[in-house]
Amino acid sequence: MAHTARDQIHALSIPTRVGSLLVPSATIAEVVNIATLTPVPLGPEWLVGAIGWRTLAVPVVSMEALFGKPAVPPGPTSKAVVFYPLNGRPHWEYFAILSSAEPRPQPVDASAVSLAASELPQSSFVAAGLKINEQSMWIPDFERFKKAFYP
Amino acid sequence: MAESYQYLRLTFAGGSYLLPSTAGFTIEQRESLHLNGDLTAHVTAWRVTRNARWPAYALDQEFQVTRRDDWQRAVFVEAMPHAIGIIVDDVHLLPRSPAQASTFTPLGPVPTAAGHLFNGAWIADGQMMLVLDPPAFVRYLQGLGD
Repeated sequence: MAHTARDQIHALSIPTRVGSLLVPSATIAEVVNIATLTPVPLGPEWLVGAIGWRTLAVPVVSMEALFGKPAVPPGPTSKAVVFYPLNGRPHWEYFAILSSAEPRPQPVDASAVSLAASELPQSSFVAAGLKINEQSMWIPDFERFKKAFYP
Repeated sequence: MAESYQYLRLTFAGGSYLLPSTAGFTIEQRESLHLNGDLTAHVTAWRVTRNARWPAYALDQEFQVTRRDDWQRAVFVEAMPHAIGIIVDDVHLLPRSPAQASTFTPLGPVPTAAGHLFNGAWIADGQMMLVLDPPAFVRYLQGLGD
């Protein structure tokens, strides 16, 4: 049976140096350039700073550091992917993930193949993985994010 | 947050931070302070009062204690049992403005028993300054020891 557009999930592929994250487009408020990254003293290593976005300060997270690797400073192609607040958090608590390049739309349909646990990175921040067009992508565990962000 | 506070802008170690003026503060010149000759100690200088001496700390960009000699002023924030100070490169009372600080929640574990060090951010003209939470800032400074 042919798949229709209704069988697709609109997602975004976010490139990082520990792999590409696959997240539903509906979780993302905006993708922005990083003009200035303001340090947040006494923050964890994975909190690489904050950006001014609209009228808010938005904390920026390094997936590399969250995966236990050294944080990579933003480069010329880096973007901040601004996410809506996590479930149950106040309406102003947007957060951003630092991408190494421009994220791109990634429709997900039934042709996507689930990755086995052995194919996933050893990180509790990864809930699952999919292979789409021969590229592996990690689906983040947003509940785990919430526990790390707001312990 | 988001109240029409007046803010004191503290600049040190290459960064600027805002302290709500409601915190209560005094600004002291280097000449009126007693310098700590022990360069291994955390306290850079003291303001000696009749009943107490108030410590002042120099912080680096990570808010870790450092020692330096190229400073002229310290800001003492009101606290119990006595005020506690920070060495600054520049201090400036911002004029009241219709612009307001927005609420900001840093991520990760809280670094002080009084919570996160910052609870807001001021964004204007493409620049952002984090707003210190006075009780948490005081608690942090009080934990730095002598």
